[in-house]
Amino acid sequence: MAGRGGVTEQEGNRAPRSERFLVCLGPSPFGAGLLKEARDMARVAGAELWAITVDVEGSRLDGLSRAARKTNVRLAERLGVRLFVRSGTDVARTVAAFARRNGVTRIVVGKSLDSPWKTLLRGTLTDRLIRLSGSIDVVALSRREGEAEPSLKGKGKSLGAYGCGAALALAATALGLPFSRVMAPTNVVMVYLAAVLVAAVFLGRGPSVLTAVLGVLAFDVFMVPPYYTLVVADSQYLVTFAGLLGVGFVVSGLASRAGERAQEARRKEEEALALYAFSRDLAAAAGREELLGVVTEHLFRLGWESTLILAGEDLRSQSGRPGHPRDIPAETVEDVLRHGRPRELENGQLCLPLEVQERRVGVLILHGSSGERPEGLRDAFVLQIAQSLERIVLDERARTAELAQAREKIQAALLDSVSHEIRTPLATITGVLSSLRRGDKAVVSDDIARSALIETAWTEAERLGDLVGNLLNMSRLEGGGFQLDRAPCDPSELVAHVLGRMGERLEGWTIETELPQETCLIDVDFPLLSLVLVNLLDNALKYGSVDVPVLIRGWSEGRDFLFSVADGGPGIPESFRERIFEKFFRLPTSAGGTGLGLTICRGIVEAHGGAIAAGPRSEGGTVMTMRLPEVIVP
Amino acid sequence: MSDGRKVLVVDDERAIRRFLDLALQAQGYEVILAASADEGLTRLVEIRPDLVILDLGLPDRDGREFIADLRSWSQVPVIVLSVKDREADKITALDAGANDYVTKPFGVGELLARMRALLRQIPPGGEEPHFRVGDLHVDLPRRRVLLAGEELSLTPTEYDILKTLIAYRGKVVTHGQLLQEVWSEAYRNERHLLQVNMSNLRRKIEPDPSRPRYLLTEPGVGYRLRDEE
Repeated sequence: MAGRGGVTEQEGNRAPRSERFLVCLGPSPFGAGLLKEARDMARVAGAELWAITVDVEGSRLDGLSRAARKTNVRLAERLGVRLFVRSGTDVARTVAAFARRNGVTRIVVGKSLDSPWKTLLRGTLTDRLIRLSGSIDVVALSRREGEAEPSLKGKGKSLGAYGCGAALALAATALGLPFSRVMAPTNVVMVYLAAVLVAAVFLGRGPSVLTAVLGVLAFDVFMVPPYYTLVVADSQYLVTFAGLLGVGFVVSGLASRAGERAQEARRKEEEALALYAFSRDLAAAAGREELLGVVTEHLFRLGWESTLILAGEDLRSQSGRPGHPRDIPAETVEDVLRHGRPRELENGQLCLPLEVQERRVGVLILHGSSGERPEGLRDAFVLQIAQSLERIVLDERARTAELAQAREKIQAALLDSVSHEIRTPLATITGVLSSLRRGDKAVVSDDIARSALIETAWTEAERLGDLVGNLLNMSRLEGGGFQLDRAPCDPSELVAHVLGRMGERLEGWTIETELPQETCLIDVDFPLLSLVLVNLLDNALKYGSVDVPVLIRGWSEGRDFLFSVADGGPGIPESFRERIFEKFFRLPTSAGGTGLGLTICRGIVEAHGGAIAAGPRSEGGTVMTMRLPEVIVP
Repeated sequence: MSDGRKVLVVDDERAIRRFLDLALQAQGYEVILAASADEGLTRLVEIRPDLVILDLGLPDRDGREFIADLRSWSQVPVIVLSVKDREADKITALDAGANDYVTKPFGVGELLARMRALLRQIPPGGEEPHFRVGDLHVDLPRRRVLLAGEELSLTPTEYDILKTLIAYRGKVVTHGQLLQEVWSEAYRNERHLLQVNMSNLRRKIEPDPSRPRYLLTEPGVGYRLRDEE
């Protein structure tokens, strides 16, 4: 916990920021809502948010309040709100003094922080704060809808309830007195019984007993002759007293038990709701990581700090105070996983195994208990978690199977595509060579026919070489991407080299270039980028029309450099413009090829941190554009 | 035409050895074959060839080691045969002492041009005063550069780059070598310096800078000045 010692140095010394809000947290379960609302308020105002909770000296907190305070403290820490604990005899004074000292600009309080009696006596906390805090704004937030009044009733048994009990007895006496003189006093007992009943239902057991006792006494003193003394003339009245008292006890017992049951029902409802919300979020969790988050978050909402560890993976999730990771002995986790028995550690941590189809898939560790939550709820949670895990495991299995199937398909397509692409040029080459080897007269004697044949074989051999190059690059791309060897180079030189390398392929084509007039250097991998341009230009020749010039452009935008290659072909339908970069994808109108070229281009451009896309050329055709970010050498 | 110059071919691929044997013999070279680095070194000592063609991927020894070993006692020109796309390997081989490289797969014409460039290295009677290729004419004693008869004005650095490339005409010169010779050893990694000057030089001496005829780029490795058309 943010210890007091560590906090004092922050107080007063720090130069106040423009806005600092302070939210007062009482030992009440509304604190959570209040804290969140205050946080939102502070966020909107751009203010820093502090929280304070005041221990009132000489007062004791009951179990529920203690639990509530603990939850509030944890929540404050989770939300990153700096929390201060102060003690004093008067909440308002303590808060106001702290606020003034620390340059707080706004105090946020909840309306339900004070008891009705004190309110009557001294005004509400809000009123008093306004009075005491001078120029500091005080904002009172009302409780949000849906936050059920916690089961303080009947448990609080404050002095007020007893006062009410006494008052009821008094009222019954006042009501019964006029009648007691005209009818048999035993009939007036009914009025007292009514008072006891009211007290039992609304005030609880203790006050109703008080009402019964006081009622008996008042009845004796005021209505049983001789009046104004405890002495009883007619001893049969003793039976009446005993009856009244007995009925009072029984009724108060029954009523308060009904109250407890109602309270229990409320708690069960709350737990059922929590469980419902939990299973809903679990069902929505798509994978293990999401599941981990959901589990710890929901447990935390119910007051459990927890750690969830999934077996066989390095996945764990922890909820609790930030910056305070819990130590979990690895051996314990192993042990729980191996034997599947829950284990309680010396420090109060509870390790529960999660089982799916007899297989232990994880361990849930609860750090300390959650106050009053029953084991049943905990077990329900554990069961839910296990079931969700099972669902996810099955999902994953199904997906793996699907993936394997898809991969098989791709591999089949690859083999198909590659073997076809290799066989075609190979067939031509072997064909040409066999006719030369056999010494076919028609071939050997005719110079033109022979050189044409050899030329065909040569072209096919080059195509085969390109294919192998593509396959090699593809395996480089898949085996962890391209390792760039960047060096400054001139984009014009790059384009010139590419045109030189295309050589005879460009015969008959018009290639126009638009490049920066000024010398400009870009920091790229020259060989890889020239491969991209060769591929793009190759496509432009494959799909374009000889009559339309191919335009290669290079220009800078800020520190980015862009290249585009535009052809005058039929263009690419919009639905294919993204798919052409997919591995093995070929246009229906494809002129052959492996469907790898553009995939490699994209891989290279992305290795440079850039992007490449296909678009329509305004005068018809396709423009391939790549942007290389931050490559201009200053 | 090659006056029976002796060429040692060191390659473990039988098909390549056979092909080179035939192709080089047809050009009048005397060809000696070796299938491993050890055999190659033995033949080197025995025969003292005029040129070595060396495959970098030998089974018994790393090609670079072979070159370094050889360079400790011989200045015989070495052409490295390298597999495509390994610029780093090419540079290390060149830095280790190889004189040029040819990428597999290669055409015979390309290999023969490289061989001619290397064998022409020492012209009788020292440096030629003039370098001529296509329309480009460099008058070295007068430091004049002419393109199609018109004199170009080069900066001293541009001229030094051109002069260095002429000294290695037809052969690859790595970026590092150029920086070292034109600037100094300390500038070996200042690539942008070389790039800027190279771009300007290209704009001046190339009739169409987008289709270079004289200054050829060896991607990722360096430059080559064409010496025959």
